[in-house]
Amino acid sequence: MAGILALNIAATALAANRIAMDVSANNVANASTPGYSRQRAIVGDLVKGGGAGANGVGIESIRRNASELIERQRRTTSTSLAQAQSLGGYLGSIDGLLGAPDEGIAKALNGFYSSVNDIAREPENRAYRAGLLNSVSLVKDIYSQLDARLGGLRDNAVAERQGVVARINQIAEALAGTNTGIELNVGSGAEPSPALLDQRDNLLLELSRLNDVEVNIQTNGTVNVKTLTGANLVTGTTSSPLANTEVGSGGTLGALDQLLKGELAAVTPTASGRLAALSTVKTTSANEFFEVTDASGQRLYTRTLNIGLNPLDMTAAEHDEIVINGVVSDLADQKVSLVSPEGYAISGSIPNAIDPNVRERVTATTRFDTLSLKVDTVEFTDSGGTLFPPGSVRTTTPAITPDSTKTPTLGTPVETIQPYQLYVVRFNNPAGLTDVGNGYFAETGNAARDFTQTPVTDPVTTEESGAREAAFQTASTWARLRGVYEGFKADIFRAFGATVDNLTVADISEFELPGSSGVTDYQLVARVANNLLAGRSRTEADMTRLTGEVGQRKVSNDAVTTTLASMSSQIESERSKVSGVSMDEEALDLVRLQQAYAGAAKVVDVANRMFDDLMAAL
Amino acid sequence: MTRVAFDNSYRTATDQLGVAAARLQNSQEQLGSGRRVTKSSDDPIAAPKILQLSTSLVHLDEYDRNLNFAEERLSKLTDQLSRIGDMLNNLKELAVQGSNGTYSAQDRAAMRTTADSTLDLINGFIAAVGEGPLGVDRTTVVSDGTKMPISLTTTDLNALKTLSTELGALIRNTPGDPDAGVAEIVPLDDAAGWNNLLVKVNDELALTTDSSALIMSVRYGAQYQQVDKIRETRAALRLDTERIVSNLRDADMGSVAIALARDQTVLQALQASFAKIQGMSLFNFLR
Repeated sequence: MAGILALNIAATALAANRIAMDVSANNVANASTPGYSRQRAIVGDLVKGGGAGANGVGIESIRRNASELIERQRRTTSTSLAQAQSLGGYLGSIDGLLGAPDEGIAKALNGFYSSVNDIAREPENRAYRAGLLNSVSLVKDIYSQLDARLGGLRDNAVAERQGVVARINQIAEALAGTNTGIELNVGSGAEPSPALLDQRDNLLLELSRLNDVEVNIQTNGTVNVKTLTGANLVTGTTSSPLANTEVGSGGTLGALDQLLKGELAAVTPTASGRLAALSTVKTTSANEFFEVTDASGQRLYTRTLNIGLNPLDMTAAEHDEIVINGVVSDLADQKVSLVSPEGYAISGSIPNAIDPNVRERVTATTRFDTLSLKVDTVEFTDSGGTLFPPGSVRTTTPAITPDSTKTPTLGTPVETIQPYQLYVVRFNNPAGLTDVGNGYFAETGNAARDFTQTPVTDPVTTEESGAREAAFQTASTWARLRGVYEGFKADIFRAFGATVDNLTVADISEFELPGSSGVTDYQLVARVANNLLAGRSRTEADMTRLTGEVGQRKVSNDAVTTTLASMSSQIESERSKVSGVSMDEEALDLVRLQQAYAGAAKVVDVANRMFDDLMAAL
Repeated sequence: MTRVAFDNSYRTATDQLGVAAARLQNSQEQLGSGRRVTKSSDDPIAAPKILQLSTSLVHLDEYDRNLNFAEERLSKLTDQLSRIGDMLNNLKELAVQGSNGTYSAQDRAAMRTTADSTLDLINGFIAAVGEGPLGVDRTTVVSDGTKMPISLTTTDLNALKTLSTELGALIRNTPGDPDAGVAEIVPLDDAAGWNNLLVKVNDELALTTDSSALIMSVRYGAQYQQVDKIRETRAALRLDTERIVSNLRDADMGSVAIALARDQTVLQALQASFAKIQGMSLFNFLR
């Protein structure tokens, strides 16, 4: 019956418009929900069995406004932007830690060198020694703070990284759950729910911020995700946790990995790491030398201080600690030669084999002010006889006895015998120097004990320079700063025979005149100070380099961040145009739906009145 | 048709308000600190230059202290050396008198005592300039690559010591050995001995040799005269360096104040426009 049909049609219209109004209300409600895509009700004419005639209106589906292209662009940009932002945060902290270029540790180092200059100029002025101690202490304090805070930043990055990996795994699980929901939707013949698709896209976006991932959206709307390094995160309804060891290829994880291997890279001692060696500068009870070792304990350097302390005055126990790992060979014809790790070849004659006087008689052919060695692993080529028969005990002062606990490891022995604690060698009268007595040497042609003119070139300096250069080859601010500081520490130790932690006024000044008792050798104090000043330009250059590069890195990253942020903003605008909720549009829709609803209601009213009239006629 | 989503204006406003607020904060920081570069990233090109130049200023401070010390030392050194010259002139006067044959042995003995005392004084001055904690051959750096002496050189000290020895031989008696039949030598016993001393002192005062105390005095004095010149040059260099550092590091307060006012206006305009836009909605007209 026509009246009934109209009533039915109006009822479908009422229902459809109410649902459409629900959709619109949902849009308004979610207008400010991040990642929400505007939904729309797809309204369609209801057709029954292909027959003629009207059957009303129905909601075919509820779909969201979304563009896969835009979503992909969002993800790509987000990955890069998150990486740059994360880097920027840490770089800003590092930059802030170092502070103004002429303040902080650079200023403290300048203060230290100024104090050294005062002592070099007036070694007899005791007031300056306390000043030097204070300046050393200041450098140490500032460095300690910087070191601790850079270490704190690194710890923070490590902790953040763990959090990021955990969040990536949570997202992967959630995506697998979303895939399950989408499959259920599709399996029941429906379209995937817009809310599920939004959830999927939002999870993918967040994941992209955390790491660079490859996303494959399937035709049914589910998604498979793997990292750029090939690790599967989500395959269908299954998620695989990302291993903590997996390297980030972008996003926050990529930035953190970049930082942990770059700016915040720890100074890791390695077997060949000279910086590691420098970080283990050791003092000994003798306080007359220092040694550096690598992580494995291999001694790289032991160097007696060339400040007039006579190794011959040391006890046997102190000698035990004085080691340069070199190869002693060719003892034929009572000759000894040794090549130190630095390539310094030393040779000399031993007229009377091992006896206390040997040390006095050996003459070096290369320049060493004072060198004292204990050779504990040696290769002997004793073609000239039996100077050192295995197992023999030498009666010398100190006694030389075989040490069976040590095994020769250097070189290929022609004839291996038990290594000996071979107490060699005071190399007097090195070439190019004039022995002026009491352990002092002067450049030939210069006045005796003219310590103020040319600082002695120390082979350790070359080594340290190498280590510091190596530190600067890394991108690590931490390593660079430590390189500068370790050089400073080694300089202090080499100059004064004490570490920065236990340096005293006495260490700075109490160099006795040879043969005197308690009379300070001010020339020597001045010389030590001048030697320290010789390393100044290197330290200043390192600090300048560090300062410039930290700022440059931050500014470059800021520029990248700004560009990416602009791109991201653009893409978000594009997304807004497609998926965002326009309140005006929703208001107009509400008006439209209200009108439609009112029209349908009027049809019901008219039909109702028709029925009423009909009923009244009856 | 371009759709303008509800959250678009919020997002745009948030971004722009953030940028404007950051700019305002930067201007405020610069005004507060008076510095344009408070960290390396503020100007990574200028930052290392600022550090280099600030370090140069520290060097200049050190050079100044070194120069003051050198000035003081050279002044003393020149003074002591000129006193040795004075003593030599005294000796010359004595020697002129002694070489005159009219003086009696008693007179010569009295003059010999005076010469002996003068030699003591000369030796005292030599000890003062050559000994002491600073020793010899000391220099101090007074500018990049320039050193200034703050003590005698070994050569100069040796020359003075030689002079002392030679004068001693000409003035002081050499004890004899009666057992060996060697008589005491009294060099200033006669006019000839005084004449020998006169020749030596004249040689020393003739200013023909670098080892003369007076020449030394002039030489160290010339270094002393350089101090003011170096100081003047230093002052100009310092001023120049400070100016460059200031240009690089310090904020131009006028420009920053203008920038602050501009940033403030922009921020206010953004806030006002956002508030205005938010008041416009079709929902206001729905009944």
